[in-house]
Amino acid sequence: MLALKHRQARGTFNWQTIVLFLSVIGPGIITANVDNDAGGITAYSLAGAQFGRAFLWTLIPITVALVIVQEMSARMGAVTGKGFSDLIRERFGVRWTFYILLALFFANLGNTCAEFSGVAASLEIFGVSKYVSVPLVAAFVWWLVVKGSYKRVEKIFLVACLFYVTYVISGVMAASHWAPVLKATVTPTWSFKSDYIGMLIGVIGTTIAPWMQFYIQSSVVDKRIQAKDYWLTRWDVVIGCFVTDIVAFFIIVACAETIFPHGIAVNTAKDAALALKPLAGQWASALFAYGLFNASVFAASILPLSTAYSICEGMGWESGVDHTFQEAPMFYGIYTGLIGLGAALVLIPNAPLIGIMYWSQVANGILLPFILIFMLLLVNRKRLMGEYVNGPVLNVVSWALTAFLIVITVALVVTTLFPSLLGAH
Amino acid sequence: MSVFVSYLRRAPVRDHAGRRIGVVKDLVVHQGATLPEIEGVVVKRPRDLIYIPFQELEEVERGDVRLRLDEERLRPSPPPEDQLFLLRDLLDAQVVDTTGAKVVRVNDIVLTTKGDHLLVSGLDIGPWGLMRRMGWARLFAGLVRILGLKVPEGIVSWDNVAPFDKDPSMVQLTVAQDKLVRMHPADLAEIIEEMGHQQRQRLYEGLSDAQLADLIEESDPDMQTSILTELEPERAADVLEEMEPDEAADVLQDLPDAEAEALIELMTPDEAAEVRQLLTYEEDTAGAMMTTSYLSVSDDWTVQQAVDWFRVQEPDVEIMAYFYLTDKAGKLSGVVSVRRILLAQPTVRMQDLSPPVLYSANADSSSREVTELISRYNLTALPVEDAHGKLVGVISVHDVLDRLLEPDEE
Repeated sequence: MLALKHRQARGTFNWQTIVLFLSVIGPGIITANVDNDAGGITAYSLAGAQFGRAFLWTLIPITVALVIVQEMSARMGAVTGKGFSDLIRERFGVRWTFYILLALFFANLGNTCAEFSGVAASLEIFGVSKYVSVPLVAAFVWWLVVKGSYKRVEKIFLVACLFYVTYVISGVMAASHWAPVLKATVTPTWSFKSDYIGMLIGVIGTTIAPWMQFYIQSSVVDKRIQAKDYWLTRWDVVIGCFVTDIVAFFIIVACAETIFPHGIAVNTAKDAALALKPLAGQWASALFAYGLFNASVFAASILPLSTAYSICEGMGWESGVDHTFQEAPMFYGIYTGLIGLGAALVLIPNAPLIGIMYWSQVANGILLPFILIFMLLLVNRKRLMGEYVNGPVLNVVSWALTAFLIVITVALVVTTLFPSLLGAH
Repeated sequence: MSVFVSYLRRAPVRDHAGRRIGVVKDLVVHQGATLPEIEGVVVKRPRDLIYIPFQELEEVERGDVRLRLDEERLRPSPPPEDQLFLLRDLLDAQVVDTTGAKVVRVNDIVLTTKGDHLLVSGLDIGPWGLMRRMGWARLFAGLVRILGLKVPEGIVSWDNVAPFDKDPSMVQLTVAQDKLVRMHPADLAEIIEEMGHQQRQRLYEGLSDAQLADLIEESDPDMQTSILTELEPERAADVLEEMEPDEAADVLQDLPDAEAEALIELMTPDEAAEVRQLLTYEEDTAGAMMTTSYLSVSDDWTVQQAVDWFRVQEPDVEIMAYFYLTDKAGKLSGVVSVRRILLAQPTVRMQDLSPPVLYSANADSSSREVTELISRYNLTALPVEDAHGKLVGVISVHDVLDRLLEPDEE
């Protein structure tokens, strides 16, 4: 881990360090868990169901990339005490900020929409109509955050994320032979088939998403983590990234062992739930629904709020749930708008849901290169970061990574806009 | 005449003969007598950056800067270091609007000519500035007219803003410090929530120990511990000494034991002992709520003795409205309001002024009991005794209010 080399004098791991660690822990791990949201679970399930073990190897480079990107964001938060949109505004001016935040709004509107689709899909397994579940959950999420009780509930969400352990167990039970699984994990394979590349782009896109950079930096700032304690936050980030990808690994393994061999096409949440059969038997659907529901509601509580914060901070509008609607109209407007629109779009009969996902995917894709480039420019700015700028090795790696991700996202955007291109190969 | 900085940014710079030599890259200011004053312009020429002092400028207008001299006669110098650059350091920075006690962003900067000088007179923090920067000023103006909206101007004068540095490691805006320091601690407590830790650190340097103590008392519990850990331990101990002992104990309670103990060690022995004593009371008891900062005199004193004692000692305590009376053993034996003392004859014994019924709480009574007692009997302060009836502290109605308003987190 290149990022882990640091000149900061660090304490030895004694009892006090552990107490300190517990006080800074959170941003990395929460971001990681929200990363495995409805979109994440879907992408990994499909990857395993359609391609078996072929995608396992990608998780190692993805983890490295995720650590590098998240670490820089967290570091900027700890050193500057400012959010990412603050830094973009102060360095690149109001125009860049406006268009980036506009793209962030649309990208996250799509993501919020995806979370509400997750809510709808999971509760439909229990026979609850989406016309009941989605408005109720939307109202609940809105109320939860505006009434300021979110912080308490966050712990419940985190505990509920232990659900992912079921994938681990299910994967372990399903995989009779581990040698081929492990071999597939360390053996890169490649295919130029259009559906393979499409899936690769999808998996990377859902794992490294623009909102995470905004979110992790703000939460580091919120926790008032200082540069001197930053080396502990770095562990939080690393652990978080590994958790994300270990879960992804077992989702893929479980699906690869249970669904892939039978050649079942995964079209609904019920199909994806088959992956939990080795563990849960007939309860697999219920368990899957519960996990998907938790992931969706967790992400739906975080995404709109963090978007509203980022936009208001960058534009210089009052923000925060401790203000009244009159004091912070833009903040509440954006927040309520995201939840309201996100939920409504799922419910409109014959809604252009696919269209929304599609444009959100495009917005995410367009945004990511800018985010990464701005991030690298900022993190290397000596005036801003002082001694905490990137080292030369990390810079080479991270610029190369950025270039690669740009190629991937350009490919994503192009194939989303012109699907026939990939098919023509 | 006033001009917005957004109109000068990238504006063409022409020499005396009207030949274009470059564009405005930035404006350099220095602190004038009252307002920051433009000292010169950084001009971006095709190949290099040059600095032109303000005296060399003949005209500064919207979208146009004209020099006194021809380009050949300029003596170009490199841009100065360590100066405040308007675009680089101030435009888009966060500022505190000290009148509204809120943190906003600089959308535009207003420059005003005064005699031969060009001064920074105000900052645009409103929607007009935003629209001007986006290049949508006309569109917005038209929209506002059609819809018949009232959009406030959003310009605050330089006297009422305190900007934050964009690059916290570079100290530039020292002026801002004074304005923040003059704010009410309760307003400042809200502002620091939105500051980065380096900005807070700088603010601490500008505040006296007493001001810092006030700031901590006005802050949320989370922020209180953050402030203490952000301070150097010696300074933190000094600030704790300035705080009311009960407040200090409350804050220390939220710190990890080892850190709290380390800070108490650094305090003066008297204050440390008092805080230690307060820390022994369980949370949510009268002992944890009470203050030890009150007036107490012997019950056999006369009014004259009490008044003389007060004049000599000039005690500055939290509970100033009552004199608490204690007997030889230090047990609570009465209470006299300042009003009664002012009305009483100097020769009357204090004990005789005390009301017949005396309400008090025990140090381990629950905060609920205390609240009920204070509310039922309309008290403004309630004395607290230990298990042996000794007077150990007083709970004011403010302490109860704080308790009731505290967010019930965890």
